[in-house]
Amino acid sequence: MGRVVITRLAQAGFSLLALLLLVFSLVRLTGDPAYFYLPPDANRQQVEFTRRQLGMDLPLPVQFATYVGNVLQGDLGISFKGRTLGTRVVDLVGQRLPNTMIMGGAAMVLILCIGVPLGIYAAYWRGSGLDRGARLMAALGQSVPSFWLGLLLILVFAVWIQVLPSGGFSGPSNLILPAITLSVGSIAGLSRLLRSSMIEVLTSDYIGFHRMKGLPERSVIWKHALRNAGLTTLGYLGVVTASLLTGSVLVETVFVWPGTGRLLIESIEIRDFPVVQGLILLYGGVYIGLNLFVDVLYTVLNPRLRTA
Amino acid sequence: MAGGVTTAHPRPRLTIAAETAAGPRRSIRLMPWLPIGVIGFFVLVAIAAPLLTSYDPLKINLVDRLHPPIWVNGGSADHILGSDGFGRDELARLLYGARVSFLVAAFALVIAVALGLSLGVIAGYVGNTVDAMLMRLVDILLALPTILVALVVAVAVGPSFQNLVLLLGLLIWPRIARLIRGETIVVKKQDYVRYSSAIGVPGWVVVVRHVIPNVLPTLLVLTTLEIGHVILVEASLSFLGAGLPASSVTWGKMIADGRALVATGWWIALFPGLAITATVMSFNSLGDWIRDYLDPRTRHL
Repeated sequence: MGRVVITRLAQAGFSLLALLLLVFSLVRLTGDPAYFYLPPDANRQQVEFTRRQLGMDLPLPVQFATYVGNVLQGDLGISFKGRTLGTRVVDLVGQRLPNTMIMGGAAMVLILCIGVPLGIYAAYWRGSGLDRGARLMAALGQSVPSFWLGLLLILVFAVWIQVLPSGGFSGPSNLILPAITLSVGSIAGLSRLLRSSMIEVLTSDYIGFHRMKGLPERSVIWKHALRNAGLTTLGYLGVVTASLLTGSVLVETVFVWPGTGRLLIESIEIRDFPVVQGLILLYGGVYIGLNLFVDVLYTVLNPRLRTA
Repeated sequence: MAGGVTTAHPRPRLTIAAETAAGPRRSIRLMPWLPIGVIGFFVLVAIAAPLLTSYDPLKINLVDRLHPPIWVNGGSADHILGSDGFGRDELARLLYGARVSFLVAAFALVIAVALGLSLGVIAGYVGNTVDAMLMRLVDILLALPTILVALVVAVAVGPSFQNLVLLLGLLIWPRIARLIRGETIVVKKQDYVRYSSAIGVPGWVVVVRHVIPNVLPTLLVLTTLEIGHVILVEASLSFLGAGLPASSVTWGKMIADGRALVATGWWIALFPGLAITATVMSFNSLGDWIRDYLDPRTRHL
């Protein structure tokens, strides 16, 4: 089992490095940022000076090695935009990160509190009105573009009924619509997946045995059935986090939420390389790290996978 | 539940048992006419767009801006679904937008399927180092958050149809390759394939004659399910302003236009969103149906 974990760890590290390299090279395809920070009539010397100031005059491998070295020390560089003030990328991201985490956390709570019971009871009362309703909602939730759903919610609750704010972040009421928007797709996916694995478990012999023993139904479902069905669903939490990360970029754009997703879009627009790199590294790192965690947890909890 | 026999928990158990025995198999066989109809409808209007509307979807006409749809107070038959903030006809934009969505999905999937099928079969059939290397590459690519990478790349290389299609294709093939590889390994272990190899049939003949026909059902299901995914990603990128150049009409861009005018022109964002949802949902349910129809084994794909 230790070997499996170590292999996965090495793989994750490799993925992260590849991600870093990819973003590093891609971001440099946008064109020379020196020109972006200079007036259109800048002369050669000015361009050279800016390039040197930005560290863009060094050979690419050197730039990359320097960058990776700095990242390992927790230094993500200085924002191009704020370089005269010495604004560090870490600080810039740090300012926005709590807001994104608040939104993601709220969405995660909704996903678990709605998705799990929905999946379980849809499986339990299979074929019932609840089940059919849940399945229709799940199919809808997986097809609707989150940014459009967000707009619809703004239209209904902020423009027509005027009970909730349409954007920004000035209080708890600002959180409601973004959290709903962000969670819908994952609620759909989670409940659907849990439903199908619950159906499989509920028809198995050992669940029948637990019932024959006379265990209360609640305990059969929530303890014995969910423990087994939940295991197959656990891997899906990686997918959920991924969609929360990606979704946050879209949802933050719709709701003008001052989080890292909007920072990413803003930084891409003004070609602020270090910020883009830092954010993609953060997002990719969280994504890869969480998948690693889920994989390892999976291995620990499921003995059959230990030799894989 | 009729009868009213009270045992500890009769209802769910009976339901489950009965359904597993006969229910799903029968309902699965019914053709999914609704999704097919919706997809067929959108494909048709996409092809016939110039015949169905006389408006140029890009023509700005500020005099006619913000007309509501025909059934709303103030709407007129000139703009059945209304007009946007630049006076462009919503219906025309919707029709031409369908073209873009389907074309992007089609081209991206051609690339993804070509790469995913060939590399997946190669990895599964050849095995060893080739397999290990290809699967590491797949792992790395799958570990990347699709829309974020697409966003950075789209901005980096500039918005164009080719770039978008190429990019989406490159981001999607690993999902296909991974499953095709698994299927290939299963086929490779079958006796008839091993006998063919044993009597000296060349590897490529085995692949063409036995492996590829056997992985086609999986490929068909995957491709159908990915269409919806590609349409959603394209719409998201267009919404963020990183999809296609400004001169093209897309559903995602229409929603972005409507976002700024949500208070004064709700219809601008409403219809393209409905179109995306209906299309994606149809492809998803069609994919699910094909999967259950072709092979109950792949139900948990």
